[in-house]
Amino acid sequence: MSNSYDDFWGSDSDDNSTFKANEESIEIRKLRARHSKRGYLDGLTYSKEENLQAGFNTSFPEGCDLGLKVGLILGTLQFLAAYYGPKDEKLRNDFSTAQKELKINSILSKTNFDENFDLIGDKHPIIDKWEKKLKDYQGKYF
Amino acid sequence: MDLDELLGLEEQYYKEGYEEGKRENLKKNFLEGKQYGLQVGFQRCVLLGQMKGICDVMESQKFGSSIQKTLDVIRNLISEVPLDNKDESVAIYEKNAVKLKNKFRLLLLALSKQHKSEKFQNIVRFTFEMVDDLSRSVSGELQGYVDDPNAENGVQKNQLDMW
Repeated sequence: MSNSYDDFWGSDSDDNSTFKANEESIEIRKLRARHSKRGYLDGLTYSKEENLQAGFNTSFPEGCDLGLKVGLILGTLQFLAAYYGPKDEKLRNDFSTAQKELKINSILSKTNFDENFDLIGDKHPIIDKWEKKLKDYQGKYF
Repeated sequence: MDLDELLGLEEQYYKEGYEEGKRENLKKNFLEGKQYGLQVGFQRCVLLGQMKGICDVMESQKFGSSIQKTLDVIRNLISEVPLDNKDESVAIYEKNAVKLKNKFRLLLLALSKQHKSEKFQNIVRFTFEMVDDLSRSVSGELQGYVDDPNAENGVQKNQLDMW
């Protein structure tokens, strides 16, 4: 049986020295709890800002990339709808649906990201769907 | 155990806790920061993407050399914006965003004049405000933090300022 186990539970022998050792061990545990908690709280506070900023800078380019793609789809559809919409009902409807489906809350929905806020898979499923639709319209009108 | 030993232990336990606290914070706040980064990056770039998309369509429709010239300037201004959050990148973004909005207004105005006598009346009514409104509705307002919403001059601090 290890010493630390004996320190806590006491060994089979009940002589005076073991009793003293147990008492000291309990005090040390208290000491450890008190000081490591104080250190823990200081560590939490100190690194908060630094870590927030590091996370922000890491994902910012990906946010930009998603925003650019969404904007490109919507801008193209918006102008095509203004230009050809009066004669193209499907285009008008698609533009209307795209505005709902490409909103920030659906694009950045947790279902599209893993627990580390990295995109699941290579492509964003909603953006991928609309990029394909966009290609059809580009083929038709460009 | 003498006093020196005791103080040494206190320091050791404090350091252990401190490192653990830092590690704990690292993960939690790093992920929180990532969420904000995705959001603000997205919001910052939707309008740029929209402008790019509209340029693509206009270019394909061959509206003439003067429109094409403005399109080239706009494309250039968009491509100059770095997609990261370094201080110098943010400064370029802010400078170019103002120029882009002005250029885009002029572009749509020119296009509207060109189409006045033609059959595409919707183009006459296509304004920069429509583009801007769509961008706002898709990406949400940037104001995530308000100093004093009742201040007369609208002293508001938007989320970009926080980062």
